[in-house]
Amino acid sequence: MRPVPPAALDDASLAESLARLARAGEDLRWLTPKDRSSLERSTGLLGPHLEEALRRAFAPYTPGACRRLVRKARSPATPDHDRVLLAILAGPIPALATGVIFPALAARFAVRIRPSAREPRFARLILSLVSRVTPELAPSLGLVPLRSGDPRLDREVRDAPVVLAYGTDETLRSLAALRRDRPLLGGGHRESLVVLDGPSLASPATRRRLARAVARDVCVYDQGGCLSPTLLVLGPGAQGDCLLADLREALSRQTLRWPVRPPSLEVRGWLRLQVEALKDRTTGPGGSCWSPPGALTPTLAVLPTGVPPLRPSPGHRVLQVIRTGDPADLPRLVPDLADHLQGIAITGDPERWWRRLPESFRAPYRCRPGRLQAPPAGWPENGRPLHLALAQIGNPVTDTPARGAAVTPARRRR
Amino acid sequence: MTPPDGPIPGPTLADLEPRVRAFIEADSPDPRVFRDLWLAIATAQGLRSPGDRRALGSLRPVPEEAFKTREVACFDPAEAQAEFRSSGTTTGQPGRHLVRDLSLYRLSVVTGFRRFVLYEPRPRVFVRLIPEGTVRPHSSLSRMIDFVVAAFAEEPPIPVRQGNHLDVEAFRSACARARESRRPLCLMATTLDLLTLVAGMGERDEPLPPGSRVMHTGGAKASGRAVDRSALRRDLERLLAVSPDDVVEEYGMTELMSQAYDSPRVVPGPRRFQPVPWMQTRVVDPVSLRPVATGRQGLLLHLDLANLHTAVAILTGDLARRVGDGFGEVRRLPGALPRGCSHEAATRTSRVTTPTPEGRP
Repeated sequence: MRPVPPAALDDASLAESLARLARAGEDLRWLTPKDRSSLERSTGLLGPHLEEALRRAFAPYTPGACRRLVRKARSPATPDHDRVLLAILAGPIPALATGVIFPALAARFAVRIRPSAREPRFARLILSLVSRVTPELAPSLGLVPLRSGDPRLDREVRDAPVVLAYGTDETLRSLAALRRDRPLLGGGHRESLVVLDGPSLASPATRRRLARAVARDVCVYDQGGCLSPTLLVLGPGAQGDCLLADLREALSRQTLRWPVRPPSLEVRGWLRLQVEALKDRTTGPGGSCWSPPGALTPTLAVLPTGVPPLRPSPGHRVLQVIRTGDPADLPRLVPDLADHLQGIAITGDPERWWRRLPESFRAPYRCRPGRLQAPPAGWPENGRPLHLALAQIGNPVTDTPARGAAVTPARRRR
Repeated sequence: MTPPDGPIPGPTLADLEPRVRAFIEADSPDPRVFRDLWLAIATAQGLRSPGDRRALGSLRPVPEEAFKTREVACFDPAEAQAEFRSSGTTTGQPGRHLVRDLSLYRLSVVTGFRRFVLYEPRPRVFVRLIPEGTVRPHSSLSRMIDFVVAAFAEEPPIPVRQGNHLDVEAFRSACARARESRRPLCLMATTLDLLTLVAGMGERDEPLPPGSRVMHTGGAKASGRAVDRSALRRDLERLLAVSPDDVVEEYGMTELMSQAYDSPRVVPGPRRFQPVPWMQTRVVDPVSLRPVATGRQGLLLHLDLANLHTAVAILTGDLARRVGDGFGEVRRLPGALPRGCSHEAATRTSRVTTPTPEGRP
């Protein structure tokens, strides 16, 4: 049966239902041991790491946040049959699914989820949680268990009133071709970075705190998400030597706290090549490349001044450090990140940096280190909060996406 | 007398070159000399710390990626006698191997080929499906075959490949001449060209005289086509009367000056690649970089003395299984760019040559 939008609920009831769902999800007791094992297999996140990932998936949706989402997502009277979102998920991160479900329901959209091919379990589990905890929302959610390349999925993509998609740039391009001029929300590949300025590193205690915060952002999800920092930029006045020692320790500790499934031989081989390429790149003055003895990752590679980082970023907890006194260097060092930055964690006076950053490097999400991977409900993913983007669907006058957002113009269908 | 400050300098690369040449030319080189030489070269190239007693443990192998991002050369690049390039079709950034001394490459190629391919009865007639170096000046494989032909062929090779086409009729007449003269023939090709040739020959066989052999290289790394080596050998036996034991496979890389061969007549036992004596190939665990046990898979790490002027130790994006003293089942890492000689493969067979787009720069 096709899901229907949660039209019958008033604003307060809808917000209360969403908050109840979030509380139940965050509690983690809803998962059986069998569910946990299957999620460990499909996400690759083990034990406490999986628990952290699951908590982060639900934590932003506090009662207050849910009320705000519902209130702000009030939209012109779009007909119910147009309030259906087909969400094509990618990757192993549970927060991606909740990041679609909560804002979409708040905007009174039904959601049809095509689970990630890599991690298909969580979407099924959350649907069963919804049936148990908030049965009033259950009719608004459904699954589309079709594989990429299946002509039936292509048909779904073509015909859905609204599509939200995650994946590679290539995937997004092929979906855009199917959608033509119909609304397609989403973004292709994106990454994040951390900028630390000199004064913030002056005190040893602050430095250690920052190192731990950066390590958490790097290690959670094994650097598998668009808010995972892959680059650490040491800004003006930042003498990084003491910080690097703190970072090595913090990365080592965090890696033990948040374990991942051992990678396959192919991934280990590929990572070895990446690490050796980084060692090769960091042989110049001021460069260094560190990994713990007997392990490939975490890796902390400090690039000599002027040497560009390895691109694409290897992931799997490899952090590259570049020193620059001038934010305007970024386009030269990492030109491929133009319009592909999702978040920047920054210390000191962010405005000073912001003004000097080219517009294509102004990530839609800006925060303090340690908060990159814990965005609030309604954060401007890909340039615009999803609940607001959905609220504007069908209202072309207000449909002006933020720069960098891969949003095709919405169209009044009749 | 007061000892000088700092470590005693080791031999320079110039000091080591005559020893490397002598090692390559030796009939049965001493493995202990190999160890001394590669450690000395690695130290002189800055790939390991002087005085470190450990061998692989202290080694900083050069990843093949480095040939794409910088000039890997222990000499002034302006003095390079040749520049070999790996495929850059996908990224637009080819790997560049600067060759300071082509005579060292020639020595390595000719000595290795003689040992692993030209066992008795030695063929004197050669057919090459691999383009000449004048056509592909940046191809290390083309240059290798040029050296082989110049060193061993009694007459110019019969032109079978023209541009990107294989002329099957020209190949048939070469086979007929070999039969008439009863002189064994050596066919040299990329693996994919060989598949194309076999397909182009259909069911009409051209039995070659005893002692004939086939040398192919490149596998299907570049194409994504599945290559069934056993089936290929059976086809060659059926069509050319070449025994599977006389089908020799070569493993080489643009970044290497030496090769490995799967040559059953020279290396009895299970089929496997065995490097020339002046190159050692370790199948290593990606994490520890230590050699894996036989039967296990790992990354290929080559120690090539002939890479005297670039990098003696190269870590590749090739996964392989260790088979005794050699290796087999070579495949590219997923995520590593496809590469290899088969980029040079012809695309079709025909009697009349017509131009088709090139597969590789």
